[in-house]
Amino acid sequence: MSQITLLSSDNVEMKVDKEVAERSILIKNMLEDVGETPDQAIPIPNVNEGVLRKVIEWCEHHRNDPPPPADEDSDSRKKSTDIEEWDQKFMQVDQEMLFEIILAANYLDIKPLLDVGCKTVANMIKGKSPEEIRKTFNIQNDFTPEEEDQIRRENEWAEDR
Amino acid sequence: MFLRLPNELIGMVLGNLPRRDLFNVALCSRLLHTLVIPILYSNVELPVAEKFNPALGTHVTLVDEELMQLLQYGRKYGKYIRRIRVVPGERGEAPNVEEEKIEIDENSQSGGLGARQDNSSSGSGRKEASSGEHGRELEEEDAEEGGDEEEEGDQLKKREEGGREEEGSDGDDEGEGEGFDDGEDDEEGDEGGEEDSEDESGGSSFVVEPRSSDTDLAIANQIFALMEIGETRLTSFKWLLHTEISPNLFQKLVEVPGNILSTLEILSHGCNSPAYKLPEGSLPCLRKLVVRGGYSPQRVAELHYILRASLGLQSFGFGIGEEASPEAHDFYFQFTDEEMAGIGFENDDFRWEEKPTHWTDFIENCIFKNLKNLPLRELMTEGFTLTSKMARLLPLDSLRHISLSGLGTSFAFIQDIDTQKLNLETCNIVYERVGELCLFRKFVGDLRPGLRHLGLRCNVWDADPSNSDHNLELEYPGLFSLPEEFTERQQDTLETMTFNVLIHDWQNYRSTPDHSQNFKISSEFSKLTELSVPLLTTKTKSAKKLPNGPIPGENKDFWVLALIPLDGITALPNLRVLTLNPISTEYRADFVESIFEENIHFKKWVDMHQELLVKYIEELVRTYGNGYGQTFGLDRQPPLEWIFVVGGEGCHLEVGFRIKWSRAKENVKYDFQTIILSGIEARKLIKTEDMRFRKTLTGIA
Repeated sequence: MSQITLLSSDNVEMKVDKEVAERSILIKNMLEDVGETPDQAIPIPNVNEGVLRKVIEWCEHHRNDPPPPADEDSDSRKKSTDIEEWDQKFMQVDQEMLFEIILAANYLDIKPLLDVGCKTVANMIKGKSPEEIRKTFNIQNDFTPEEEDQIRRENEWAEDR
Repeated sequence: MFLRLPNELIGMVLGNLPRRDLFNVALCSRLLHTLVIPILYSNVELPVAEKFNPALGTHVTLVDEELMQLLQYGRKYGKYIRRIRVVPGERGEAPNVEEEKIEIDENSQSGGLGARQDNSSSGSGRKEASSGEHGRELEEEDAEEGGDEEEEGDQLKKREEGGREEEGSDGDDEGEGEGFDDGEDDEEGDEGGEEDSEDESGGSSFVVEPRSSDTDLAIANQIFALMEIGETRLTSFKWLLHTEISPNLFQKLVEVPGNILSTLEILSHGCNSPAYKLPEGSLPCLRKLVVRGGYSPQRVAELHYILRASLGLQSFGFGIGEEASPEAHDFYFQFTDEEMAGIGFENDDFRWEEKPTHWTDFIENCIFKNLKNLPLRELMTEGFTLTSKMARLLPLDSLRHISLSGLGTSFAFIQDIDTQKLNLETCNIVYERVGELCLFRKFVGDLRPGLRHLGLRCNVWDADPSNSDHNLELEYPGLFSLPEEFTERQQDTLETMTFNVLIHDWQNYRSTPDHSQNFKISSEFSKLTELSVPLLTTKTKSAKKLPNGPIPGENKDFWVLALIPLDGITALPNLRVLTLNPISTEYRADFVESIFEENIHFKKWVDMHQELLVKYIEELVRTYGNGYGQTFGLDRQPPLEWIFVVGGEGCHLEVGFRIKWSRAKENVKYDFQTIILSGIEARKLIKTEDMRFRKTLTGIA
C-alpha cells in the first residue's frame, strides 16, 4: 500500500495511505494531476495538525465506504439528521473542533464528512428555542423586541409545521 | 463560532433542519434571519381550506388566504418561492380535497424518474439525466409529509378510485381565461354534471364536453398569482392533485414565450377538452415529462404535441390507471374525421399513414413515434401493453433507465427489444404472468454489462389455483433465482437489486418443495448496498396453546420463514440493507401487516409470530456477523444496518430491524442489538430502492 505525506498548516508531517488520503477529492485530484506518488509532503495550508489528525481518523474508518449515491444532495437526504453511531462518537468534540472539522472537510472536499458535520450541528439546533440556540452558539440577539415580534407574526405559519 | 462559518456552510447546516427549527433560527439574530428566510420560503407548504363562496352558492377549496396574502404582499417573502406544496388542511375540514396536493417546483434538482437537470442554462445544449432512481421524487414528497405509510396506502387506493371517480370532471375550457385574473368570485360553472362514459362505452365516440370545476379553477387562480411572484421563472411544475388540471392552467404553463420549463409532472390528466397544440420546439428546456392519470385520448393526443415541442427531453413517464385502460374493455378506436377534430388531431400534424384502430396504435403514433427522435435516457410506463413496434421505436442507444409495470401482454415488446443496443444502468420491471417468466429472465440475462440498479418483480396471477398439484418451481424453473450467468455477465457494477416474487397461497398449493430452493444470494457483487430477495415460507405446527383467536390451540399449522443461505450475504462487503419478501400472501397479510396492531382479536397469535420473527432475524444477524468477521476480520464493523421483512398484499408495509453492531467483550467477534420498528418509523430513518420500487411500480399502476 503506497503512502503519501501530508503537511499541516503548523508544519507537522503525517504519513497516510494514499487510498485513505484520496477520500479527499482535493488530494485525489492533486495526485491525479501529478501522475505519480509525490516524494515531497503535500501541504494542507488551511488545516492544523489536530484537525488534520481527526480528518485522517475519519478517512481511515471510512476508507472502504462506497461512493455516495448520485442524488446525495436530494432533499430527503438533507432533511435526515440520522448519523451513524461511530460518526456520532467521532463528532463528540468541542465546538471549536467541530467547526474546524467542517471547514477542513469543505476545504479538502470530503462530502460525507462535511455532511456528518453539518448534521451534527443541525442536531444541536433541533428542538431548541431561539434563546437556547443563542446560548448554545453564543449568538447575540441584535433584534429589537418590536422586530422580533414582527418576525414571529409574519412567519408564524412556519412555527406550526 | 457557528456564525464564523461561511454563509454557504451555514446554509448547508440549515438545509438539514425542518421548517419549525428554521423558524426558531430566524429569530436568533439578523444574520441568521437573513440566511434562513430564503430557505424557509423556497419551499412553502400551503394548506387548503374550504370556504363558502356566496357568488357560487357553494363551498370552494382554496389555499390559505392569509398565507397567500403574506406571500404576495410586496413580494417580501414570496420572491424566494421556488417550490410550493398545496396540501389538505385539517382532516375533515375539506373532505373533497383530502387527497389533493399540488407542487410547483422551481428547483429541479430532485428528479422523480431520476433526471437531474441543470436549470442554470436555457435550452441550448443537452443535459444528461442521472442514474435512474425511479420514483424517488414521490418518495421524497412523502418523506416530507412525515411518511405516514398507512396514509400512503390509503392514498394509493383512493388515488385509483379517485382517478375513476374524477375522470371527466375537468376544468372548464371556455371562459376560464377571463376569470383567472379576477379571482375566484368571478368564476362560473357547475360541478360538472354527469360523468363521461368513455370507459364503459366500448365504442369510438369521444365526448368533448368542456366543463367547469370551481375548485380546480380557484386553486389555479392562486397558482397563477404565485407563479408571478418568484424572482425566477418557473422551471418545474408538478400537478399532484387527483382532480384534473385546468386546461387553462396547463396552457399558461407551456405557452409562455421563451419557456424554460424543464420538469412537467401531471398526476391527473384525463379531461376531454381537445388537445392543446404546442408549436414544434416550443419547450426547448423540457427534460422531464411525467404524465399519469385516467385514460383520455385527448391527453394522449396532447402528448404528441408536447413531445414534438420538447426536442431535448431526457426523461419520460407515461402511466394510465389499469382500471381506466380502454384495453380492459377491449376498446377499439374507429375515428371519424369529426371525432378526430374533437380530440384535437390534425392529420397534417400527425402525418399518419392510416388512422389508428386500437389503443396501442394510438399510443404508438402519438407517443413512441416522437420518442424515437429524442435523446431519451429514461422511460417509465405503467398500465398499458407495450408492443413490438414500440420496441423498435425506442431510442435504444441513449436509454439508460427503464421502468415498466402493468405490462399486460407485452411479451412481443420484450422479445423484440434489441438488448445488444441497450446500455442500461437501471432496469425495473414488474410483470404479472408467470407464463412469461422465461422471456423476462432472458431479457434481464441478456442485458449488457453496466447495470447498477435491477428491480424485477413477478406478480404471479396466471397460475391455475384449482390444480392441487400445482408446483411453480417445477413448472417455471428459475422462478426464485437470477438468470443464468447474470452475475458473471454484469461484471460487478450492481449497486441495488430488488428481486421479488409474489404468489397467492392456495389450498394444496406447493411452491416450496424444500429449503434449498430459497433465493441464493450471489457473493459477486462487491458494490451492492441494497438487496431485496424472495423468501420462502414453510408450514409448521404451533407448539403453544393460545387462549383465543381464529386459530386457537396447539398443533395448528402456521407459516414461518424458511432459512436463507448466508454464504453470499456475508461476503458482500458493502451490503447495508437486506429486504426479505416472504412469498406467502398469508404470511404477509396475516402477520406482517398486523404485527404492530394492538387491538386485534388474535393478538397472542401475532405475538407468537413476532417472537418467531425476532428469533429468525437475530439468528440471521448472528450468523452474518460471525461469517463477516471470519471473512473480513474484526477491524471494520459489518455494514449491514437494516433488515426489512415485507408485508401487505401490495407489499407496501414492512417491519424493519435496525442493527447496532458492537464488539463482544472478549473482542473476538461482533456483538449486536436489533431494534424492531414499524415500516412507518423505519421509513423516517431510511429510504431504500426496494421501497421506491414497490411503491412506484405496484402502488400507482
